[in-house]
Amino acid sequence: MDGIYKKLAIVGEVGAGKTQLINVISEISPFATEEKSSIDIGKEYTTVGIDYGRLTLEADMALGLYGLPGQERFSMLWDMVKQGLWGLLILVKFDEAFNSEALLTILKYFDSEKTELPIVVGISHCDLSNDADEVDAFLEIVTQLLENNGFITPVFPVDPREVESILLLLQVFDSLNTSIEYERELSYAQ
Amino acid sequence: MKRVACLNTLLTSPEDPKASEKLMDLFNSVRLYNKEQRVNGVVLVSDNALLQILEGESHVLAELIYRFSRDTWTKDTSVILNTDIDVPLFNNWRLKFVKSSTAKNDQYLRKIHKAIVADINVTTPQDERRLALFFSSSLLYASLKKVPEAAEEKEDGQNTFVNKRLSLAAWPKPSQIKPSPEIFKLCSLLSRREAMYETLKQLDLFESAAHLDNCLYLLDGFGLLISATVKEAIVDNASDDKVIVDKTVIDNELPSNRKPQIALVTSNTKPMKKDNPSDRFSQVLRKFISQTKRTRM
Ligand SMILES: Nc1nc2c(ncn2[C@@H]2O[C@H](COP(=O)(O)OP(=O)(O)O)[C@@H](O)[C@H]2O)c(=O)[nH]1
Ligand SMILES: [Mg+2]
Repeated sequence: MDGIYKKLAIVGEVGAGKTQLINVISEISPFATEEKSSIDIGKEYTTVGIDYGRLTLEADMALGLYGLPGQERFSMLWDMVKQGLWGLLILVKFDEAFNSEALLTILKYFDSEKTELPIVVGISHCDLSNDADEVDAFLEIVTQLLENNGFITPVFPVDPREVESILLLLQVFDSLNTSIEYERELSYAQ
Repeated sequence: MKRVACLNTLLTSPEDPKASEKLMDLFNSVRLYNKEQRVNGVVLVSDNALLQILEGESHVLAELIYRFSRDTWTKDTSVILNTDIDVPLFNNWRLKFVKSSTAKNDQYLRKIHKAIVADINVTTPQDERRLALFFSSSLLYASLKKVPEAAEEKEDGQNTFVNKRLSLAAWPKPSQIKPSPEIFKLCSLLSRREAMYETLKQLDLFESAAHLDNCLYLLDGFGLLISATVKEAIVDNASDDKVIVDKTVIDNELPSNRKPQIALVTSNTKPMKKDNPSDRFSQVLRKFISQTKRTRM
C-alpha cells in the first residue's frame, strides 16, 4: 500500500467542539458513504476515548482526525497520535474562565522538540457573543500569551458546526505545511 | 456614570513567560468581570506599568480598583482621574500593549490623551514617570509639533520594504484582514522565519507584486510586521531595540462593522512546483476545498 495518510490532532476541553468538528468533516468526506460500510477504522482509538474520524480525499489518500481531551492527565492519549502530525488544532471555548496553563501545557507537549508542527488555536463558541470587539479582546489575550511564550500561532474563531469555517481551517493548515516548502526555496535564495 | 483612570506597577514584566500565564489569566478575569458589570475602557500596558481608563457605575469602578490594588501581581495603585461623565469615550473593554512609538499607536494614544488630559491629576514623580510611559513628552506636545500621521509610508514613491528583513510579530485577527489563502501563506512563512522583501517577491505567493505590497502594508498598519534594515545584525528579535515592533490592534472606538476588512483576491489553485507526496496531498486537499465551497454556495 502506497497511500498518503496525514494526521490532524484536535485537542480541547470537554464541550469545546471536538466531536462536532470531526463529525462534520467526516460527513463532507467525498468517500463518506463507502467508508461507513467498510471495516471500522479507528476502533483502537475510540475504545480508549479518542474521537476518530477521517476525511478521505481519494481511494488512497486521507486525513485522519483525532479528538483528544485537553487535560494533561490524558497525555498518554496524546502520545498515541503525537508522531508525524500534519497539524495540531487546539480548540478553546470562548468566554470561559480560560486556562492559560492548560493551553501552554498542550503546546509545549506537542511542540517539545520545536518541530515544524503547524499549530492553530481555534476559538469556538464565538457566535454566543454578539459583540465582535468582545471576541477580539479575548483573541488579544490568547495571542499575547502565546507570543510571550514564543509561539507565533494563528488564533481565530472556528465554528465546528460550520463547513465553511472548517474549510478555512484546513486551508490554514495547508498553508502552514506548504510554507515549509517556500522556506526551503528561501534559504536557497538568501 | 463615572470615568476613572488609575496607574499600577506590575511586579513582573508582562513579557516574562512565567508571569504572562498568571497575568493573562488576571486580564481575562478582569475582562469577564467588566463585561458582567458593564465597565468599558482600556487597559494599557507599557513596560511594567498599567494604565487603566474605565467607565461605568461608580460603585463598580471602586470595587474594581480596590481589587486591583489588592492583587498580588501589582503594586502602587494610584487613581489619577475621577470624574463624572455624560458621554462615554469607550464602547467596549480592551487590553492594549504599547511597545513602541509608531504612527498607529501614537494616533490612538493621542486621541485618548486629548480626551482625558484636562481631568488628569498627577501629584507624585512616580506617577509622572509612569504616565510618561504611555504619553511620552513628544506625544504630549504633539499638537504643537504636528506629527505626520503615517510617517513610515512611502517616501518619494519608494517602497518602504525594500532592503528590509521582514517577519511576523503576530497573526492578524479576522476582523483586521479577511482570511485568504495568500495571506495565510505569507503569514505562515513570516511567522517561521525572516525573509527579505526582495526574496518574497520572487516567491510568487501573490498574483502581483502590488498585491504583496498591499498585504505587507496592511500587516504593517496593524503593527503585525517586524522589519529591520539589512545592515543591522539581528541577534535576538525580542531584545533588539533596533527592530521595530508594534502590537497595536485596531482602534477600539470604531464599531466593529466599520473596521476595515480587506478582501484579497483568491487564487488557491496555483500549482505546486515540486512533485513529492506532500504536494500531491496539498493539491488534492485544495481541490477538495474549492469544490466543496462551490457546491455549497
Ligand atoms: N453555538 C456553538 N455551539 C458549539 C460550537 N462548537 C461546538 N458547539 C456545540 O457544543 C456542544 C459540545 O460539542 P462537542 O463537539 O461535543 O465537544 P467536545 O467535548 O469537545 O467533543 C455540541 O452541542 C456542539 O454542537 C460553537 O462554536 N458554537
Ligand atoms: Mg467529544
